Amino acid sequence: MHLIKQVLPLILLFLSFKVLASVEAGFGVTSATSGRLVPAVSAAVTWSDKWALTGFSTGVSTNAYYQSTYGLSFFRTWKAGEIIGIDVQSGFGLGTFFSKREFKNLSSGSAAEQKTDFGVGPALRMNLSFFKNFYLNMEATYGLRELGAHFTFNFQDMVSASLGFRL
Amino acid sequence: MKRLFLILIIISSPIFSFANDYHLFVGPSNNFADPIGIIRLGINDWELGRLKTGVYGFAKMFYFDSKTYYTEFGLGYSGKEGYLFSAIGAEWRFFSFLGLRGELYAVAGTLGYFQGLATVGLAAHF
Repeated sequence: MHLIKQVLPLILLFLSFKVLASVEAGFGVTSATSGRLVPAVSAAVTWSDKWALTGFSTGVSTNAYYQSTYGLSFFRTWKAGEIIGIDVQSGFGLGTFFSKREFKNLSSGSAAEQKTDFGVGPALRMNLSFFKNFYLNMEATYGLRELGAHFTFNFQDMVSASLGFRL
Repeated sequence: MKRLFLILIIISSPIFSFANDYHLFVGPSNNFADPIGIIRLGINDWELGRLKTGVYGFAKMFYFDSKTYYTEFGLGYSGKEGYLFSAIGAEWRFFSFLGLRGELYAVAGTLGYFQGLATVGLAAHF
C-alpha cells in the first residue's frame, strides 16, 4: 500500500495529457572568461511555460591558474512573440553566480593566490526556439554590489549564451 | 503618371501611416562616458541604430501590456564581431510624445565579448 502511494503520483504524471515540464541542455560561452571563448554547459528546467530554473558551469585550467564559475537563475517566463516565425520566450527573475580562481606559483607549484566571487541580482532571459526542439538562449545576471556603481549603470554582470535542445 | 503616383501612395501608406509609432530612444552609456551611447530609431516594434556604444544593429521589441514594459531581442555588429542583443525595460510617458525609458540590456559577442549593462534615457514619439 505504501509503495502504491509513492508510485501513483509518478504514474499520474506520465498519464497527464498536457506536458507540464521540459528539460533543456546546451553548450555555450559566458562572460566568466571574458574575451575568451571557453565552453560552458548549460541546463534548464521549465514548467507550465511560466517558470524556468536555469544553470551553467564553465571553467578553465592551465599550469598557471584555474577558474571555475557556476550560475543558477530562477525566472518567470512568458511567450513574448515571434521573429520571422521563430518563437521567442522572455524571462525575468533572480540570478546568482559563484566563481573561484586560483593562481599557482610556477616555481614551487603551490597556490599563490585564491579568489572567489559571488553575485546575486536581477536577471533576464531570452530564448528562441527553432526546428521544434532546438533553442538559442541568452541570459544575463546583474549582480548588485555598490549602489554608486549602479547609478552609473554598472553591475557585476554575468552573461551567457548557449545553443541546445529541449527534451 | 497620376496613376503611378497613386499606386506609390497606396504601397507606401502602411509604412508611413500615422497609425505607426515612430520613436527615437537616446540613452547614455555606462559611466556616462558617452552621453548618447545608445541611439535607436524605432518603427512600431522594430528598432534600428546603435544598440550600445560601438555596436550597431536592429532589434525587435515585445511588449507586455499597454506599451509600458517590454523585452527586446536583436542582432548587432561592431566592425569586428557579431552580437546577440537582449534587453528588458519599461517606458513611462509623461507626455504623449515623450517618455522616460530605462532598460537592462546585454550583448553576447561571437568572439567572446559579453557585457550586461543598464541605461535610462529619453524616448520621443512622432
